[in-house]
Amino acid sequence: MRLAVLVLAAALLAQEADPAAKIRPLIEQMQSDSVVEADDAFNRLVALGPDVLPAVKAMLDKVPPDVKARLTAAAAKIERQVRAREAIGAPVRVTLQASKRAPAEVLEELKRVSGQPLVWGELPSEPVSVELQGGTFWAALEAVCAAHGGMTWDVVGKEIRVSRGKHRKRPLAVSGNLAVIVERVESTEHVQDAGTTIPASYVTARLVWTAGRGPRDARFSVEVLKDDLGNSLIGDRGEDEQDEEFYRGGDDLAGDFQFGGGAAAADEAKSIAELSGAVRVQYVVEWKQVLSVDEPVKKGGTRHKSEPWTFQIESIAAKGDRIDASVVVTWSGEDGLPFGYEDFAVVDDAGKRHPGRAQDRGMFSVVEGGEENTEYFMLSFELPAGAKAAKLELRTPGDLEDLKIPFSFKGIPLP
Amino acid sequence: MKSAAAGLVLVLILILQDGTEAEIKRQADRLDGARALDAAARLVDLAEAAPRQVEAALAGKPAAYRELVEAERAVRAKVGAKFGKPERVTLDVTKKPWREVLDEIRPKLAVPLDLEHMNRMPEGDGVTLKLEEATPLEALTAFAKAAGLGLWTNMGKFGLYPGGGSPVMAASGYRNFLTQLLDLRKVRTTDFGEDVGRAAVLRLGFFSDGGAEAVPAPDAGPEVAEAVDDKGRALPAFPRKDNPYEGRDNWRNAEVTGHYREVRVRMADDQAEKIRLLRGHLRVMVPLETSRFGFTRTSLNGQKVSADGYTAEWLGISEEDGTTIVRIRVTGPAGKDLKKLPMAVRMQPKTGPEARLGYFFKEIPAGLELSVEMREEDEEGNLVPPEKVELLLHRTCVERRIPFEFRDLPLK
Repeated sequence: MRLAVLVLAAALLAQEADPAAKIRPLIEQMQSDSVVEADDAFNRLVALGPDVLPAVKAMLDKVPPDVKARLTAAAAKIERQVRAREAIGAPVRVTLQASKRAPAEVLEELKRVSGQPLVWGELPSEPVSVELQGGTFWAALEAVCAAHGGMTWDVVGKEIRVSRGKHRKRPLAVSGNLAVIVERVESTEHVQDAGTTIPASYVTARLVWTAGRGPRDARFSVEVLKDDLGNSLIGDRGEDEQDEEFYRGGDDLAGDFQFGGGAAAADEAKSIAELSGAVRVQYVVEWKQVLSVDEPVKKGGTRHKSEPWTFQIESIAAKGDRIDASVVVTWSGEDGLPFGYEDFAVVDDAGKRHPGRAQDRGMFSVVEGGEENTEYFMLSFELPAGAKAAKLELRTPGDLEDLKIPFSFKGIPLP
Repeated sequence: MKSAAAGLVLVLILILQDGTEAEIKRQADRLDGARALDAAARLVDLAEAAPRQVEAALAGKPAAYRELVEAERAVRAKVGAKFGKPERVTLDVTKKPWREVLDEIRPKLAVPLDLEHMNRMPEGDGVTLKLEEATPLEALTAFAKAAGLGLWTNMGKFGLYPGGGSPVMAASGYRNFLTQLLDLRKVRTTDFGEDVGRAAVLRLGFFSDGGAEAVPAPDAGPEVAEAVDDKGRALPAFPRKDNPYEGRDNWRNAEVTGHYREVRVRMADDQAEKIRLLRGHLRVMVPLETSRFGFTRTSLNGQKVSADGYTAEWLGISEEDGTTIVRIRVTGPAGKDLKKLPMAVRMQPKTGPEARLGYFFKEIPAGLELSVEMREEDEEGNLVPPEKVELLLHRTCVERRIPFEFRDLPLK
C-alpha cells in the first residue's frame, strides 16, 4: 500500500515536471466552444512561461488549425516575455557574510560578487559585520552602509561611490535592479514683498539602476503626500503626475526627479506622515533599425530615406578617435521624433556599437516650416584608439515593456 | 526756523558719523580671525568717506592689522579704474512721467538699456521716487520698482518691461555692482543625514552695469560674513549646494550681469520674525593681463590665433534654436588649467552694440572647447551673424569682493 502511494506521488510529480503533460489539458480547453474558457486556457498557458515553450512549439503541427493559431500566438507572447526579461535583466543578487571585517574588504567582496562599479576613497577604520543572503544589490549596499553607520553611498555618473560620513538613512524602495531613493523633502513658504507667503512642498528623488540596466524612460508620480496633522501637501495639483525629462541611454546609473506640491506642512507638524507613489519605467524589448549607412565617413552630403523620415548627412569627419557628424532629419506630419542622440550609433570595424552624444550639450532645434519639420543633430561618437567606423546606424524602439515601482514611505521627520 | 533746520541736519550728520565710527571700530576689531580679509576690505571702503576715523581706529592695533589693510589698499590701487567707481544719482520726484525719470538715470549706466518693450507703456500716474547718492543700478532698480516695471538682464543688456515681474525684496549697491534679493523662502528640509533643518533660502542676483571689468570667480558662491536674527542670535549661513539656478553645467558668465546664487541661512528655531542683518560678499576676478584672439573672416573654419603661449582655433559658426552659436577651441601651456582662467567673448554684430558674452565649455586635452551663444536679430527677425569675434583670456587676475548688506528681512 505504502509503495503504491509512493508510485502515484512520483507519477504526479513527473507529470508536474513534464511540460507536455502540463500543457495538454490546456490545449484541450482551447478547443472549447466557449470563448471565455478558450481565453482562460490561453492565458494560463502563457503564464506557464518559457519552461513550456519547446512543448508548445512541438504541438503546433499536431493540433487543428484554429488551435494552432492560438498556440502560435501563445508562443509569440512567451517569447516576448523572455525578451522582456532579458531587457530588464535578472536581478543582481548578493550573498555575503562578514564578521568584523575592514569596510574596504567588505566593499571589495561586494564589488566582486555583484560586478557593480563600486568605488571608494578613504573609509573609516572601524570594522563592519553583515550577513546578506541573496538580496538585491541596492538592498545589500544599503545594508553594508547602515550596518557600519559611518559610511554612505551615492550614484555619481557611471559610478557608485561609497564615502566616509554618517550613514544617510534615506527612504529606499528596491525592485530588482532598480531602486527609488528619496533624497530630500522640503516644505517651503515663499515670503512675498508685501509680507504674504506662498506655500509649497518639494520631493527630490532618484531612480538608480545597476550597470547596463538603465530604462529607456521613466515617470515619477506622487499620489499621497501629507503631514502628521493630516494635511495633504499636494495642494491644487491633485493627483497630477510630475513629468520630468528623463535621461536616456549612456552609461549613467541614475535619473533625478522633483515633485512640487502647492501646500506646506503645518508649522506644528513634526513629520511627513506618508509619501506614496510610483515610478513607471519602460524598457526596450525590441529595436527597429531605421538607418544603416556603410563607410559613413565617406558619406558626407548624402541623403537617405526611411519612411517617414529623410536623413541628410550634412557633414561627417573623423577627428582622432572621435567622429563628429551633422545630420538633418526632415519629415511631415504632427508627430515628434521617437529617437534622440543616443539612438544614433557608429559601429566600428570590430562590430562594437558606440552610441552618439550631442557634440557639446543636449541641444537640437526643431524648425517647423509649413508642412515639413526639420531637426538638426550635431553628433559625436567616441571610438576606441585605432578603431574605424564601419557603419552609421539609427534605431528606434519597436516594442516597450512597462514596469511600475511603487513606493510608500511613512514617518519622515521634519525639522 | 533756519537755525532749527541747520540744527537738525547737524544732528543727522552726527548720528550718521556715529554709525560710521561704530562700524569702523567694529571692523577694526575683526582684523584678527576668519573674517580679517573681509574686515580689511570694509575698512578700505569706509576710508573713502572717513579716512581719519579709519586711521584713528587702526592706531592702537597690532602692526599685522595695519598690514592687512595696506595690502588691501595696494591691490585696490593696482586694479584701480578696472574695478569701477560709478557716478551717483540723487533724485526727488513726485508723479513725474516715467520717461523723464529714466532719462536722468540712463546716461549714467555703462551698458545699453533695452526699452523695446516700453514702446506702448502709458505714462500712467507718474513716478514718485526719492534717491540720495544712489549708484546707477540702485537707481534703476528703485525706478523699476516705483514704476511697477520688470527689470531683466540678457547678454550684457538691461531691459525694462511693463507688468512688474518678480519683485525685488531689497537691493544693495557697491560701486558698479548691485546685489538684489530676489526671493526669500522659509524652508524645512529633511535631508536624511545632512543637518540642514529650518532655514531661510535667499536667492541673490548679482549685476554689474559694465563699469567694472570683472567676471565671477569660477565656482565661487556668495560668502556670508554675518547673519543675525531679530532675537540677536548669530545664524550660520552658507551657499546652497543644490542650487537650482545653477543647473547648467560648465556655464560661465562673461560678466556679473545677471549672475544668480542662493544662500541658505540656518534658523535657530521658528521664533524669529526677521533676519535683522545679512552681510557678505561675492568674489569676482578683475583682469590684470589679458590675451586677445581676434577672428574677422568668421566664415572660415580652422583659423588659429596664438598669443602669450595660448592658441585659439575657430571651429565654426551655426544657427541653432534661433540662436547664433560660435565654437572656439582654446589650448594653453602644459600644466595650465584653463578652467580656472576667466574668459569672455566679445561679439560685434552688423547692427546693434557690441556684446560681451558667456559660454559653455567642455574639457579637451590641454584646453577647452567654448560654445558661445548670441541672439541679435534684424528688423525682420532674422538672426544677424557677428562681424567680428574676439576671445578675451584673462591670464592674470586679482580677486575682489563685492559686498552686500540687507537689513530687516521679514520672515512672516
